[in-house]
Amino acid sequence: MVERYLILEDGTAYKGEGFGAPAVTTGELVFNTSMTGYQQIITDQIYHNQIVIFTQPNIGSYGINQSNYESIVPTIKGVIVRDLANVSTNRISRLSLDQYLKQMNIPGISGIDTRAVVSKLRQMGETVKASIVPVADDHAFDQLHATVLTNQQVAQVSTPKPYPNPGTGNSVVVIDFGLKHGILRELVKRNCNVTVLPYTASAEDILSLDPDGVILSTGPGSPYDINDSVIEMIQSIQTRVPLFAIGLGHELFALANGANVVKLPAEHHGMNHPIKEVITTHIIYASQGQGFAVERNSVDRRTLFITYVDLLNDTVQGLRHRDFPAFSVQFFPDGAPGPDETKGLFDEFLETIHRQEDNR
Amino acid sequence: MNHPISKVLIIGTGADQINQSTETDDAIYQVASSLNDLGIDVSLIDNNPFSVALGDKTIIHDSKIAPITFDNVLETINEFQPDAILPNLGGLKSIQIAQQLFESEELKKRDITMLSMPEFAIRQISNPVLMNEMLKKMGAPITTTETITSFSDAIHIVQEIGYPVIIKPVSPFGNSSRRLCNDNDELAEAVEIAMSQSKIQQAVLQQSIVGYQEIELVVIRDRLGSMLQVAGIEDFDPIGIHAGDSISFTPTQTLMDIELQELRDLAFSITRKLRIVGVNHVQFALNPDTGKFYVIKNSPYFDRITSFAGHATGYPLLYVCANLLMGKTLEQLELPASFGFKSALLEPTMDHIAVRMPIWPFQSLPDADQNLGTQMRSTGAVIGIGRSTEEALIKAIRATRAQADSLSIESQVKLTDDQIIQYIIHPRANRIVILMEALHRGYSRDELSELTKIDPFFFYKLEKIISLENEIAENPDDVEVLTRAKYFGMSDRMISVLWNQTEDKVRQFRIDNELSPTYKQVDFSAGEFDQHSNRFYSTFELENESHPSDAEHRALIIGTGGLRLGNAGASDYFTSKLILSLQKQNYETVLVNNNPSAVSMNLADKLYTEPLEAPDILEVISIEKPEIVYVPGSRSRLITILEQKDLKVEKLPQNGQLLSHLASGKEYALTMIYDGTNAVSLDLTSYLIQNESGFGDPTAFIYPAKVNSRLKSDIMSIGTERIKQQVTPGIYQALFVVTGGVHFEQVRQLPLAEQSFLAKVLNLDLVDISLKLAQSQCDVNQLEINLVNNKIWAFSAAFPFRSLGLHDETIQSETIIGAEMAYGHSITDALKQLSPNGEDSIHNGTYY
Repeated sequence: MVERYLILEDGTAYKGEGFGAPAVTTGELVFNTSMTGYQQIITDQIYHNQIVIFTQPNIGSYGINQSNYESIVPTIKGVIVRDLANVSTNRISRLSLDQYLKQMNIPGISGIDTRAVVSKLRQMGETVKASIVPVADDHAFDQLHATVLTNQQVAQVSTPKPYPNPGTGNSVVVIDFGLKHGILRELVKRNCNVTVLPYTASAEDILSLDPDGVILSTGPGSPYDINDSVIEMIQSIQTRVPLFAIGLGHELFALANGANVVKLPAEHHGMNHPIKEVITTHIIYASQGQGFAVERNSVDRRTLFITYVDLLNDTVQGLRHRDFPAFSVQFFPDGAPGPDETKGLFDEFLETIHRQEDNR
Repeated sequence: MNHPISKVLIIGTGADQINQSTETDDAIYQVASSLNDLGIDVSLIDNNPFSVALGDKTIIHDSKIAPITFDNVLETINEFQPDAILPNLGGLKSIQIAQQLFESEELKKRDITMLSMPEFAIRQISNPVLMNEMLKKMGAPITTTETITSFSDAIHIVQEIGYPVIIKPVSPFGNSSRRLCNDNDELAEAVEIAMSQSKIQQAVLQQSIVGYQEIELVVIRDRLGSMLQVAGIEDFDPIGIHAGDSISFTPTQTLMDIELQELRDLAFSITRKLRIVGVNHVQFALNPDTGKFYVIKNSPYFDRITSFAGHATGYPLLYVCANLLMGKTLEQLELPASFGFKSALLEPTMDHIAVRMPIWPFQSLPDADQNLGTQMRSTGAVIGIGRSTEEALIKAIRATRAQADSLSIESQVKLTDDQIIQYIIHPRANRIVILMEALHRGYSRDELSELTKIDPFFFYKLEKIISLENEIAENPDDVEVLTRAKYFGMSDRMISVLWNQTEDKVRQFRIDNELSPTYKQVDFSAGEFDQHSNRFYSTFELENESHPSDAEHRALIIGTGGLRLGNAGASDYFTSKLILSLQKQNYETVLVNNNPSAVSMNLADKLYTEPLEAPDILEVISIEKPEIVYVPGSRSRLITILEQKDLKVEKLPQNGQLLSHLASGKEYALTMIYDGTNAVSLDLTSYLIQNESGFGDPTAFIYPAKVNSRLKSDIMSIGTERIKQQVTPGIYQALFVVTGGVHFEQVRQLPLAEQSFLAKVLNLDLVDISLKLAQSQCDVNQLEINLVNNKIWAFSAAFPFRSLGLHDETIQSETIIGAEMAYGHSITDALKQLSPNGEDSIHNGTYY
């Protein structure tokens, strides 16, 4: 057993048992309340810069398998669990979580009173920096305080070069802010001919590919840390082709249309919030992961209308443009992990594309 | 629903039995009390003397005590004139009666609404063929069941679905066989035999799902169609063993997200398709080789799994469903004040693990077949909650016994390797102990998984427990090892056995090293919201969340745990009524218990879901510092320990005491309430079944007894004298045998079974009276007692013999599983109403 510590900016230290890579790490501490899908969460690039606490106490019980990655190289900073199950014996798994994190150079700690840490985070109500270290001494705390986390997360996770994911159906351009594979999976299922572009792509770059539709992907960090040229790109593209924006993409879409985005007192990561579809009053559950939200009062009702609302914290979960075939959701419609009931939004996107084609 | 509902009739369940115990009464009590809060009058038909709800005037406006049959339900409808009927609280039987009510058009005639599900759904639930057709139509995966008339038909189907398959005859002449076939030769033989047994030369071919993994989902839906998943439950044992006899885990332990989402979608579509309002429990089979799922059962009613889901997650399932049934929507609904977060729409997410573990009847019935199969054999269950799979599992195993020395059974050591293999292949009760022993003897995870079809993950966890045990045994008095042992759920006693010390010494060593449990909320938001749940479980971590309230008076009540044979339902009746009475006296009631089906578990102001060993109780006491502790009388060791700590202990009456006979003959009992000065009579009981060795718990009796006036006056005068000699106030029985003359035998406390029966007959809260007697706050002359004079009541116990494959078993109080009560104008009249279809009951009405 290797002792490791989770230390927080305020001087708190939690002792646990190390697993994964023996690296020292620093990041923002967030918690995820999903009961399943640790592999997808760990590989989701929205966790760039972040150390994730799993509230479900038993993590690792079905190993790691080849079909549930959400990125090729995970960018999560660390993994905190109550109890690690070190198995690789599931029907389709060949790798244990511990082995995987070692390969990917990501440290983890088990044996932490995760509920106590979550309760502390909830009470603090602000972003908390934390480190995973071998010894919780003054040096470690000094290092933690001295570490400045990058705000160039998107630049670090977005693809540097365009790449295709050919299909025989509609051509869709996906702008990669920290793309989650789930989006590609849903497009592939619908036969789309996908081209993934770096987040720096200009409207001209995009239009030169003559896409039938454009998706703005999920990604890590604050929408305000992203270059204004991206906002201009969105403003231009939404007038030309059907647009579907997700997660960080949704926040950028809101900014591009005059709404305000605010930082939440506590990040929300989970799949148990009821989300109401405003037009049908239908209630759905979806995978969510957000540190920011569109400010409800800032939405100009002449430009946008609110399509989805989180019934627990009242945050805007979806927007639609009044004039253009453009819409967005804060949650992750591809699930992975999480409920399937929102996958229909990809069909809606394709229907929008087909309607546009008919109009042409 | 086109008229407002102001009066609802609930169809109850009758006697507790295997596969249906107090969880339905718990559901009835909670739903009825929520309906009351909505201003609705609730009436109930039931004949279970151990029911807490039946006859409780504070929540049930009208109670009808009668066997649950179509005719009686109809009569009850005529009597109470309800606007609506609630059929989802009485199990499958009440669904079947609901269907008869539809078919007879009696509901239409009276303009009565059926709550919780529409007619077509009710029809499908009681008819598996219709259900399968619907599932097939909606594209849900179901196992193949086809009618065949020849071997070539069979081969044709098998080519598609593969072996193994099951063949059985349609409309058999008499005896019919059900054959499992693994190849063409076996199939040919089975088809031939089935055809010869069938009146119409037809057979049914079924895809065999034996060995598949079993997963259960509990979902709820409101009238507008909003749904949420309350819990996903994974069974340890594969299909082939009844789900009720399997150890179950929630959240699911080995399912990947994509698999769980698929099940969730299916459960939602079925619930939507059937337009169910309230709860639905859907069972699935997973082929572990292919990852393919099948829907195997859909039960839109409260059952043992819904109660487990409620207690495991902390979600107020019964409260929410009661409101949904009355037309509220999940979005409108606010949770009661004890929930910090008000929305009923927060889908339960857990930061703890809960395990349900069956309780077996074999200690009382050693001759019963202990092999497990498709027939359920366990009589009850316990729940263990912890922060790791190991901790939850060990706590559940501990909760099945009053005192667990270790995770293995001594006798296991004597089993030969051949026996071990036999028991692995042909699973028996308590198989987890055998599996642990197999691991001890060097079987590998993969081997065992192959042989048992249990997911290797569970063997991985069992191996961890075994290596922990070894580590403990090898390191006596090692604080670090002790810390680890406690962290994974080992009890002081288990550690003491491994260290060869006394339990008390280990406990002291632990306390000296500041190793005390911390209590966490059973919180369905996983810590995301600041909940103020009143439900706790222990673990050994940093932060303790349970603090005593500032209530002026606090009583700690020790529950009776999982239901065992021997009038256990009556014990929980007593615990429940005691809690309600203490609450009326402004006590804060704190309960320690671990039976997910118990009515008491949902009644106390604060609940600790914990094993019931002395150290567990002492830890709770050190936090709660109660004024008084109520302990079941049978827990004599615990009582001694508590009394040694100078705690005020009150013993609760116990079941199953046998008092030897002095003479033999007809047995009578005079029941009296004695306040220390005066005694008032509750009349005579006459016992029908006599135990040769003495007065036991009653199994069948008549009340009031018909005796001539001379005999009665003799009994009265001797009985009064004897009861008045008792040192403490209480409700007592003077026992008599009549053989020509009257022989006084002895005085005993009124048995629990009779207490719950008499309370209903006399409409008297006897538990409340007992409590006040113990507090010296009862003057019997102030009691308003109306004895029965124009009716005869009867009580008859029910036994699980048929379910357990037993014949010619002797009837005795230790093997009672439930009971029924009835009344009539004569003894015969009363008796014939008992158990209309009950082979399991001792009475067929022929005694008089």
